[in-house]
Amino acid sequence: MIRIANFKKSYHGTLALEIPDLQISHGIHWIQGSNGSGKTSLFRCLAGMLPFEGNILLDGQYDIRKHPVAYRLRINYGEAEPNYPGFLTANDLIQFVGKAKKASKAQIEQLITTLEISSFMQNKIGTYSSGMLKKTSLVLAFLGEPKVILLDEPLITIDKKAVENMYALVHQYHQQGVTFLMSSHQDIQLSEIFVSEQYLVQDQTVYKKLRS
Amino acid sequence: MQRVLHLVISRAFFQQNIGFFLVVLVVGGAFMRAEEHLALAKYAVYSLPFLAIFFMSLWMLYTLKVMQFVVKSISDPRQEFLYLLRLVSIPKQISLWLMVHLTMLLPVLFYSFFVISQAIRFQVWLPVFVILIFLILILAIPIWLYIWATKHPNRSQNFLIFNSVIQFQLPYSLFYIRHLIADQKMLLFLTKSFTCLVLIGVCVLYPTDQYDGRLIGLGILIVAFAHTVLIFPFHSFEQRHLLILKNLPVSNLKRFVYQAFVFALLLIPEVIVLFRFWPNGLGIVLFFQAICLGFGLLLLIHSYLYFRPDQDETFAWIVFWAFMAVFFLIMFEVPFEFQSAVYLVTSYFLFTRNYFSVEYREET
Repeated sequence: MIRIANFKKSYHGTLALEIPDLQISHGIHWIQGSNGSGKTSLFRCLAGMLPFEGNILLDGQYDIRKHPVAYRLRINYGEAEPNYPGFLTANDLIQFVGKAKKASKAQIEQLITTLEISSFMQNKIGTYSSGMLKKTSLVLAFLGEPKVILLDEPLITIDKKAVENMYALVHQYHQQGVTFLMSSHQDIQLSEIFVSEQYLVQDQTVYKKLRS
Repeated sequence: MQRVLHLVISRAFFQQNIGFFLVVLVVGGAFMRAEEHLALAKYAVYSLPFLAIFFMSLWMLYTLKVMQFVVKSISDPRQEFLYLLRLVSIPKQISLWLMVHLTMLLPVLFYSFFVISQAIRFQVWLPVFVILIFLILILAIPIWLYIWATKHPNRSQNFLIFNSVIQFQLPYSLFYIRHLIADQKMLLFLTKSFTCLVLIGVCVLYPTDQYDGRLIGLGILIVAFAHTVLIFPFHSFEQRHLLILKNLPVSNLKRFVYQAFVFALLLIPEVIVLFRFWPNGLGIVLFFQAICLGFGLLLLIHSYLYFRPDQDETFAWIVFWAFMAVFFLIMFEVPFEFQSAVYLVTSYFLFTRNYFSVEYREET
């Protein structure tokens, strides 16, 4: 599904993350790690938002550098702490990203309904609470027909009902063949979601955790 | 009570739309002479279709903008106290909302009375009657809506239809300009004032028969480099608030075109000024060549920041030497169109090579 090879991410000469070789198969994967361990850097590199050394290949054919458009069409990212422009509305962002990700109107409507953002989506983002912002970023993460969805701390700041709604979407998309990489401090295993593999980001690299 | 309404609604409206009023003032005040305003009003007085299509449509759009703002203010969770207005008598509510609405409609009222005065001057009475009826409608209907809105606090259901009808969906090309208007008003105003004054200066200071086109080139050079203060924030804006852009499946060419369009929009005031004050005797071809030169330079500076994002002392020297190099190219009469093509191609090359590999210091 995702092949990461000879991967190195540095910030101003300091190594932050190094992955010699990692294969992530289809499924729902839980990425664990303490604050500052490099989970967000890993997600942002995978999403094509940060530069890095090495190579990332999706589905055995879409290279992040050689096929920048096809690759990004198939990988979505839900930010941990979104910081969208305060003067935009959630609707402005959803329509804009939805068009780029080739999302249908029906899909946009379904996501708006499922994640319950219709009551505030026409208001300016500057007036949103952190939960509203998070829900907006989740809508953006599910737009289009991705093969992989990266959800960075999807459980923080949203209420129990929203968590249930999000899990329902994860379940629905996973059944349609979408792979999820979710970072979370909370125990995803306690939910109805079946976690395929667990990974630990530690000591500037990523380990696959053995099943207990 | 009136004071609270003024503070949270009418004053907030003018504060939030300062950029809009600035544009109207510049277009209506600086680029149209008094006689042109008089001619326009006279034409409207004698042509009811023109009056309806041109003036009344604009006044109606402005009124819709005002109505949308008031309705949103009432439904704002932070201003739920506005629902308490329904506790006062209806005549009192009408007078309170009338004052708020009149204040916000002042630009429309001012211009409509100007047209009425012209109609009275030419003793044409039908437009006076039509405008007065129109004004009564754009005063009465919104006030009825505001009173209705305060009586129906179920905001999400009640206002969604109204909002969606007149909601303007902001396209990407306006994201940055909206950011400048919202968060960098003074920087935008000072930069645009400076660049427009420079262009007016080079256009009107030497109105001789033998006007030297290089002078226009030098004016454009100053305009482009003065815009570096608006180009820097573009990069930090996209990096801080729109990092998601890099995850979008859009080709490099499209990204470049979208960004070029943003800068083309940013140059509109300068294009208008240049057109308005273009020296007699200089051909229209040179006008377009000058615009292309400014546009090419702007894009080159912008794309260079993807190659070298740090705005340190070295960057300041590079900007200085680049300015001097283009200065001499203009003085030695290297054709504007040739320079524009080179700047455009170079900026595209810099953009495509560095867009995904650029790393800003803020990311750590």
